[in-house]
Amino acid sequence: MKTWLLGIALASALPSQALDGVVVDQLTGAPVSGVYVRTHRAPYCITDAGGRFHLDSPVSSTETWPVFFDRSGYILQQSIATLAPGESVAAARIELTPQAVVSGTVEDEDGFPLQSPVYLLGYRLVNGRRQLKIIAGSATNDLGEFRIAGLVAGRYYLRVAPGRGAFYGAGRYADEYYPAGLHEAEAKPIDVRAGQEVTGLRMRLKPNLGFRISGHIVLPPEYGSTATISVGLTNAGGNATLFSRGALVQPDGDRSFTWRNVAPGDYELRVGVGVSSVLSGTLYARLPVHVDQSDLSGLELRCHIAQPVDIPGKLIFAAGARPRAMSVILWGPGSPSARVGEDGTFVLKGIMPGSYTAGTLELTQTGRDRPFQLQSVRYAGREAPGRRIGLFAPPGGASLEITVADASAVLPVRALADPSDAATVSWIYLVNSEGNYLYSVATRGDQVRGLNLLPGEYRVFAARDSTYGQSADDPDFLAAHEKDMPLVHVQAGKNPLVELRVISR
Amino acid sequence: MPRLLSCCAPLVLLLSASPSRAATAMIEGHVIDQATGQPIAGARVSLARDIGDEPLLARTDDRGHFEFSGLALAIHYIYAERSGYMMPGAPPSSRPGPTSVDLRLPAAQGPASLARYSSGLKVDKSVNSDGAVRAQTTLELVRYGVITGKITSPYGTPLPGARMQLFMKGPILPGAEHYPVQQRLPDGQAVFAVACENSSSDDRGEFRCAFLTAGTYYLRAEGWPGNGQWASDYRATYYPGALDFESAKPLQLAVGQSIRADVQVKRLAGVRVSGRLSAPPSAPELDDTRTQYWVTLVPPHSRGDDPSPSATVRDREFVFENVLPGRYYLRASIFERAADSFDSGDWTPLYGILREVEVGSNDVAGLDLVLQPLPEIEGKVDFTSGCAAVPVTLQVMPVGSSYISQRPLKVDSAGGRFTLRGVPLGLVRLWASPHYPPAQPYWVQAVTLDGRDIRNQDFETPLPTGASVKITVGCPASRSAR
Repeated sequence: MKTWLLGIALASALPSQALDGVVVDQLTGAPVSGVYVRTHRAPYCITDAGGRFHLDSPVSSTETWPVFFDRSGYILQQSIATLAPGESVAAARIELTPQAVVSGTVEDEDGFPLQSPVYLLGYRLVNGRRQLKIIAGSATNDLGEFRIAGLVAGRYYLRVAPGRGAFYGAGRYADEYYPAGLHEAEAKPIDVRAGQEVTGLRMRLKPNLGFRISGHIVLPPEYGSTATISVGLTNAGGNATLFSRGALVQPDGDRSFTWRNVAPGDYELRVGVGVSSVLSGTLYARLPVHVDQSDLSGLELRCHIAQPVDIPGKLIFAAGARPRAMSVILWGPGSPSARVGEDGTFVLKGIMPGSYTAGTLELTQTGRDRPFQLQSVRYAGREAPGRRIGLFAPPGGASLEITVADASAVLPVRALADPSDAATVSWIYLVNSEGNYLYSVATRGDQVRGLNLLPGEYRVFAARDSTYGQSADDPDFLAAHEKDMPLVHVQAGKNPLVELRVISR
Repeated sequence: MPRLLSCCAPLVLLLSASPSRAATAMIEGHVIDQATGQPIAGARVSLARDIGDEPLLARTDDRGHFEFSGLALAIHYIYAERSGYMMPGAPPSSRPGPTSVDLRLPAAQGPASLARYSSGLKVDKSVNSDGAVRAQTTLELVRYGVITGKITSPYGTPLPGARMQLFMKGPILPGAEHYPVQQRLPDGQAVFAVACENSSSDDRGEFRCAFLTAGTYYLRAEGWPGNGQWASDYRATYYPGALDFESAKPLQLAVGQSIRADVQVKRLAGVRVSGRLSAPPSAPELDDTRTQYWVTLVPPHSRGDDPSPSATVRDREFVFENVLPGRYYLRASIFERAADSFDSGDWTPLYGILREVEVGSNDVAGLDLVLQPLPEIEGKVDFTSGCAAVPVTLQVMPVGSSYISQRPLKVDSAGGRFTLRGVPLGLVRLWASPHYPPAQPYWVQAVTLDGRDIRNQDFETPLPTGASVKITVGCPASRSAR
C-alpha cells in the first residue's frame, strides 16, 4: 500500500482549486469516515461514509503545505499538498494507522484503587546512550483505571509513579515497573501491534520498597534567616518529571532531610530553583545523586545565596561573515539576552542561578527573529552538552563562547518509491550520529530533496508516512532496519546523492 | 468506661495527673456513612503525625470500629478511605484530604489554627490517672458522586482531548467578591467552576468526573476538530447541547450517584472580523524588530477564562475567524521591547485602544484602528512604621483578556513615588510585589485609589485627572509593633 501525493494544480491566475481524495484504514483498507482534514488554516472538511473528502484550497501560491488527517482511534497523519502552477490534480489516497492502546488498573496492597501518574516508556537513544524515555503518559482515575492511547506499534514498558498524589501514598510507594519491580531489569516489555488494545494490565503496588536518601544542608555563614527551607528531590534526565518530592528543613534545627522509598535512578536535590527566576538574596542549591542498590546517607547539600552576575562572552561565526544585528539569549528563567557587539563580544547582565539553553538570534526587519544553528557552546572552558548550561554555583569569572555553525551543508536524498507512482509521498528522517532524531521532510515520487544540515555523521532513512518520528530514535527499530539506514558522512557544501529504500514497521 | 471530660473540665484535676513514665494517647472510633449513619466495614484508617509521614494503619471491623494506641500526646492527621467514599468536604474544592485530630492533654490544647491542614475532627477525650489520653471519635465518609459521559464531535465521532468543565450556581459570599467566577448572573448569583479530576476526554471521547458531592451541576465541553486548539467553528457546548449557560440543563446528582451525560459539541460558523492597527500619526517611527501588535476580542462579561476568538496578526493586519454574533470589546495594543532584550516579560505597551464592536451575521472588515498613547497612573508606596524601604514592582493588567506580560515597573525605595506608563485601558487590576530579604516577607497591606480600596479589585482607566494610587507595604517589624 502506498501513500499518495496530494497534488493541486493551482496558479495564482486560476480560480481556487479543490483537493479530493479518500482515506482508508491501513490494516483493512476500509474507508474511514469522520476524518478531519485540514491544512494549516481554515477551512477544513470531514470524510464521508465512503472515506471521501473534498477540501477547497485555501491558498494560492506555489508553496508546499502540510495537510493533516486526524481521527480518534488513528495516529495523526500528515501529507503534503504542492500547489504548483499547471500541475494536474491527483486523487489522493491516504492510509491511517490505527492507534494501539494499553490499559489496566493500579491498586495498593489492600486492593484499594491507587491514584497515580502512569507512564509508558521505551528505550531510545539519547546522546548516544540507550535509555528509557517517556513515550506517553496518563493517570489512574478514582477506580485505579488507566488508559494510554495514541500509540504506534512497538515495545513499551509501564511505570507507575505514585510519588505525587495520594495523601498518605506520598512517600509510601516507590515507582514500580510492570509487572512488579523497582529496577529497569525487572520491567517486562509490552509489545503492541498497530491497532492492538492491550488490556487488563494489573499492578498491585507494595509499600515501603526502594531506598532511603538522607543528608543535611550546609548554609552559607552570612545566611541569617530561620525560615523553613524546602528541599526537593526530582528525577534527573529523561523528558519529563516522573518523580518529585519535597522535604522541609529547619535552619535552626539539625538541617537534615530524609526521603523513604525512592526507586533506583538518577535524581537531583534542589533548593530554591524552579522553572521561574530565582529572587536575589534567596537560597539555591543543586546536587545530582544516583540511587542504585542501597540507601544513601550523609549527603551534603551546599546552599548559596542567589546574586545576579554578569557573564561575558564571545560569538564566533564558523562561516566568517556575520549578520548585522545579533543577540545572544539564554532561554530559561527570564530568558536574559544581550546584543552582540561589532567585535563579537557580549555581556549577559544580571543572570540569576538557573538552567538555561544558549541561543542566538538575528534581529530582522520583519520582526521575526531568525535563530541560528550552533556548532558549539562552551561555558567556563567546557563544552555544554545540548547547549544547556546549569548556573548553580557562583560563576567566578567564567565566560561563554558560542560558535555559530556554517549551515551550508546540503545532503541530496531520494526515496526509492514505486517508480510507476510519481505521486507517492514518502518521508525522509534524519538522525544524528548519537541517535537523536532531528527532523523529517516529505518527498514525492523520485523527487530529490536537499537536507540542510551541519557537517557531520548522520543516519537517514525513508519511511512510508509521517508517523515514524516516534521510532526514529528507537534503537531496536534502527537495528532492525540498519541496512536501509546508511550512515552518511556529510561534508560542508554539496554532497553526493543518497538513495533510500522506503521502509515500514 | 473512663469518665469523659469536656473541654471545660477543671484543669486542677488534669495537672495533678502527673505521669510516672511518658504518657501516651489512644484513639478509637467508628467510620460511618454520613448519609445513612450505617457503619462502614473494611475501611482503611490512616493516622500520622504529619502529612507524608509513614502512617499507622487500621481496618474497620464489621461494626466500622477502629483503634490506634501508643500514640504521642500531639496533633495527628487522620484519614479514612473505602472505595466509592471520600472524606467530607464542600464544592468547589477538590477531593478533601486528611483532617487533624488533637490528642494533647486538654490543658495543653492551643488554638485550632495550630493544626496546619484542617479545622480538626471532633473528639471526646478522657485522661487516665497516669496521664494517658483516651479519645473517641466518629469519622464520617461520604459516598461520592460521579458524572461520566462521552463527548462527540458535530459529526458524531468521538472527540478526544475535549476540555470538561463542571459548574455550580451560587451566591457570591461577602469577602469573596474578587474570586474568579465564570459568569455573573442577573439575579446576583454567580457561576463557579468545580474541580473535576481527569477533566479531558480520552481517545474514545469518554470522561469521568469523580469525587463530587451531591448537588446541581452544569457541564460544559469544549473541543476542537483535530489536534491543537484553534479558532474552529466548534463551540463550547453545555449539556445537553446548549451554547449558553442560561440554556444549559442542570444535572441533579444525589449522594453516591453515578450519572451519565453525553454531549455532542455544536458547530456554528461565525464571521470574520478584520482590520488594521496603526500608531498615532504623531508617533515616532516604530522599529519593527522590536514591536509587537496585540489584539483580543472578548465578550463584555469575560473574566479571561471563557472561550474567546483568537486573532492572527501579520504586518499590522489582524483577523479573527469564526466570531459569533454579539457585543465584544476589542483591545489592541502596540508593545515595544527593550533594545537589548528578548525577555518575554520585557515588553512595554506604547499605544492602545479599547473599542466596543457589535458583530452581526456578516463579516466585519476594515476595522482600521488608530491607537493612542496609553494613560499613566501616578502614586506613592509607603512602608508601615519600622519597615525599611524595599523595591516594589508594579504591574497593571487588563481584566478578562490575555495580555502580553509587560515589563513591571520597579519602584525605587527612595521617596516611593511612581508613574506607571502605558496603562491598559478599561477594566484593570494593579499588582504590587515587594522584593524582600530572605525570611522577612513584606506584604501589601493596602492599595487605595483616592481612598477607595482597589487591592484585588477591578478599576477603570483612564483615571480621573489628579487621581492617585497609594500602596501601603508592611513587614514583620510592623506586625510585632502592633
